[in-house]
Amino acid sequence: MMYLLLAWRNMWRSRRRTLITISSIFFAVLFAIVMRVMMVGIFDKMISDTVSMSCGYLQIQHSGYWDNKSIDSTFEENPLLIEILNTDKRITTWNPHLESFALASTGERTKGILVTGIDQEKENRVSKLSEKISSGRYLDQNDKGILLAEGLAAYLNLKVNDTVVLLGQGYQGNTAAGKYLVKGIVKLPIPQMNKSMAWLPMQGSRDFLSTGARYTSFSLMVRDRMQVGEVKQDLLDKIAGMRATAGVNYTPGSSYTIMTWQQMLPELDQLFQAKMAQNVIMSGILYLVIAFGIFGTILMMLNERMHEFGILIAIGMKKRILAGIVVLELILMSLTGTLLGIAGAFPLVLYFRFHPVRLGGDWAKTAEKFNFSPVIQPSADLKHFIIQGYAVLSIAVVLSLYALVKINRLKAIEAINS
Amino acid sequence: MNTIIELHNLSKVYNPKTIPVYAVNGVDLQIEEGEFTALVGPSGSGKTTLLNLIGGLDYPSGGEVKIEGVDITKMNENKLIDFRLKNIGFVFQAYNLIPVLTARENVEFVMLMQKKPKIERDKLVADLLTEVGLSDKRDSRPSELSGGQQQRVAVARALASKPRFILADEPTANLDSKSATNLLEIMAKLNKEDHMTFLFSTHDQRVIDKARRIVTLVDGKVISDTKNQPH
Repeated sequence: MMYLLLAWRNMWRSRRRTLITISSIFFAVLFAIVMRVMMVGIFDKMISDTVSMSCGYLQIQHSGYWDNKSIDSTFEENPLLIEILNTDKRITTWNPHLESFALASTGERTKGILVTGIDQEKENRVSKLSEKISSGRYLDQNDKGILLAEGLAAYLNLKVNDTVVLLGQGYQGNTAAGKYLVKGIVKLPIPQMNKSMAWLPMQGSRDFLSTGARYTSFSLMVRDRMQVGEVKQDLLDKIAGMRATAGVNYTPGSSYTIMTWQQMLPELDQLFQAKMAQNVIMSGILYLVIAFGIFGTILMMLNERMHEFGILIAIGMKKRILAGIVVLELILMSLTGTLLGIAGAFPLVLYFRFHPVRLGGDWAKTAEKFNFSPVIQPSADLKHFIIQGYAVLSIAVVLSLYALVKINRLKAIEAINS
Repeated sequence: MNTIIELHNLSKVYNPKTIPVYAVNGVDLQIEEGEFTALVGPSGSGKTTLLNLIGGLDYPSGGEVKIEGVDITKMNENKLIDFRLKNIGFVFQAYNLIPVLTARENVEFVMLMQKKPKIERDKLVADLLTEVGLSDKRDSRPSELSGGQQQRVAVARALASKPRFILADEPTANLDSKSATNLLEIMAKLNKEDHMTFLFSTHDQRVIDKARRIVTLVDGKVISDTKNQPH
């Protein structure tokens, strides 16, 4: 306790210098946290928007579907598989899809689009599609109509209650053709999707493609994006077990395959990784500045107190205890700056979490151009706060090795005479 | 009387390979328990170097330093630190207290390093500060004490470890006359009543007058070793 007291009081011997060092750590931690949570928040939103509207964080498909996207590579409904999905607590929700490419036509305009057959209720839980209706209404249980993305509707000059014709290839070579009443227009946050998507009720989609009770995929949403790999592996194991129990000669992945969002949306993942790497470099520069600040403090502290260290060793203080006190001092200083930085960042992040910044005008257009949502909402994941704390403390610990070495080499008599 | 300190042909040479300077040159000396000895001599005569060698703060170039029969020159640095903590009290010329600790904490600190229980520490701290006349300054930091008061705290600290002897390097050098006299009286009282052995370097005549033995050094050699009647 006395050693801790000594370290704490020593820390405040040069009050101004300590305050400057603590302030530099405070601001660096604050900036690093805010920078990181903003960045992660933007990407979380972008990834979440994209995967909820498209493939989910994980997708169960028929093996081989991803490579040729053929409607023939579909799978039937399997109660055992559905039970596995419903009992895994890490999967927040899942929705079945029956997707195919088709030509959408009206008047003289035609466009290639992605038509997705959806279970209205489940889909709404994942993508909150009903909340994105800009005109018209969401699909009812037995609806025979279609939902069009806003950009697509604009291109085809379609409004609610107009009719669109779809033409494509159905299951096992059948021709898929149908005429659908536009029930609603959907405004999507991701511009690319806004130009090319349409939704049919599951039954309507099966009728259009003549597939019967088949699906192209189940899209899964998970509680924590970081758990994707772990959930995937567990599901593969469970599916293997399911097949083994069912007595079918099964090789994992031969009938089902599970893909992660990173595999399905590699460009998005690469963009995310690149931005995170950029963030690490920026944080690294900030921490380099902090490191020099702390090192300067260490140098001055050691030089100023050399005589005192000599006295302490002379009266019987072991060098390791002396070094421990000095390291404790540095850690206390860094910890104070770090905790203040975290404490300062916390309300700031919480405020913007509950009051996201909505970009307007040219900023919004620019964001949309690059497929970013124009809403900036920071991530509130505590991990990002803790990482910054660890980073600063690690710097302090590494730099304090200098003090350790210096004290270990100290000759009492030389120090007293210094 | 027990011999506490024995020096045999002790020497300390600086620059032995270029231009050798003998700070201590073949000193033979014995200090008995309970002595109050002054080490005197002009500046550069080797007083401080000799005290440093006796205190295990420096290694000699030759000879032996035996403390109660144990040759400390053979000890490694860590063992020496431990030995000093258990056996030797130090009072340095100035600025030898920990500035961020109070008088009480400075005295207690040494006992804390010795891992003494809190009850024992509290009692001894109170006794020692009373003994050096600073019980009312127990919560003052060094910066709030005069030079003389600081040196008295340093004496209390030196005694806190219950050492076999105390080495004091010019303890009154930075003190005014009144403070110096006061400090000397405390040291003399501790020597007389508690039989604490003191060996101190000085060129302060007031200190020399209080000593019962005077060892004179010139150019690192003992040129006289006389008994003195303190007054």
